[in-house]
Amino acid sequence: MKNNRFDDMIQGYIDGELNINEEKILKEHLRSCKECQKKLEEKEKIAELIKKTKEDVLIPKDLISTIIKETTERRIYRINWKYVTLGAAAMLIFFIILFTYLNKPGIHITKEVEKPELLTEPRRQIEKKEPIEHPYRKPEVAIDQEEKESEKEVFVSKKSTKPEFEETRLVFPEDGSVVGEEFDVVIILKEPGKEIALNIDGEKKVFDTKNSNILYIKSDSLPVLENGIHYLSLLEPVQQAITFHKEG
Amino acid sequence: MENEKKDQRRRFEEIARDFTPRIFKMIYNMTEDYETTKDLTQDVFVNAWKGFSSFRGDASIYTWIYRIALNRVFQYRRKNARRKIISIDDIKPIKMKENPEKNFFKEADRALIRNTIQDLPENYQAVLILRYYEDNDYATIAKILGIPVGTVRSRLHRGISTLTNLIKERI
Repeated sequence: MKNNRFDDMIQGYIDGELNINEEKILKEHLRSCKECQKKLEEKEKIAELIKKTKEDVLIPKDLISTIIKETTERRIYRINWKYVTLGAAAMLIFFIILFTYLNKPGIHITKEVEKPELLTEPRRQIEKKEPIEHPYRKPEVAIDQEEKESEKEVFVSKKSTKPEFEETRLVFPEDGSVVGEEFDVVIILKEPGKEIALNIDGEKKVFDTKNSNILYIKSDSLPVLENGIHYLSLLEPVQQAITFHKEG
Repeated sequence: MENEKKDQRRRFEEIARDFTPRIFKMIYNMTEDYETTKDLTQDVFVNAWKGFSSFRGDASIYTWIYRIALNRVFQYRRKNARRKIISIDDIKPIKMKENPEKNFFKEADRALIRNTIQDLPENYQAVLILRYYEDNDYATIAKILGIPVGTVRSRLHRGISTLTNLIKERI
């Protein structure tokens, strides 16, 4: 189509984007082509109409600050695999030592703990009778009894507070003195907007997650301990809980 | 390293302050929904921040941000296509009425024009918005969209023709 070339030129003309040559060619053409003159007029009007339909809106007051919070001020947490590997290795060594120790002949602490029913009253009564029949065993039994009492206590208290999920315990360096870096704890809850109770160094603390399912605990929201290490236990089931290395 | 990061944060915050109002207004004109505009504007800057460290400055910040914004709006619209996006093939040439201009300019109200712009194919809509709402020249539009300047001109021509035909159909 012959006029296609001029259609584009008309567009350029109304937008003030033609070079001198093109403008000259178009103007010459317009003198003889009524159809193109009409097109030019119509296009100019439509372009003006379009410009007028632009709406001006006020931007939300807090939008810029929200954007800054969501971008430059947002911390990026990354798992430091070096510490994860070290932690895993330490755990492995710990369990190897533990099992080696427990398998030594003569050590039967675990058996006693696992069977609390043996520590019931009738059994104790029977045991109490034993020293009368065998006086030479008396001191030994007394010690044994004491041990059992304390073991029972430990067992019962554990059982009474034991949650119905696998409790996660996190070791948490407070001021970074241990590893030379600050740490934060990130806990991912199963559902958002819940309060979550944590046992921090034996003190129950409740945190509000504010409609999110992620709870961040910063090092400065924890009490300062002399050795700089916190023991933090979760008192409710959560999806995941990790101590994170805070990126510099 | 730490200073470099701080500098990067500072530069990005300046960009966010400068461009948030413009980008917000452009997105509002494309979506006409205040809450959606808020979310999308935020997304634009979050995406920009993610790519900021690899932004080499070959393009100007202006064209870069606008490109991200247009992509985000079109991506959102494709996902939530409540509107019927008209394909170029669907548009039929219509017969001119006896006095089409008079009729057209009388009856084509703001809302109709705005709605029709939003129903245009993305290519046309982008050039029209960048030219007539954002007042960019062809060279800038070409950079934002990554197309030659000549294509900007022909798309504007076809965009306006398509828009005019659609409005005439709807009157």
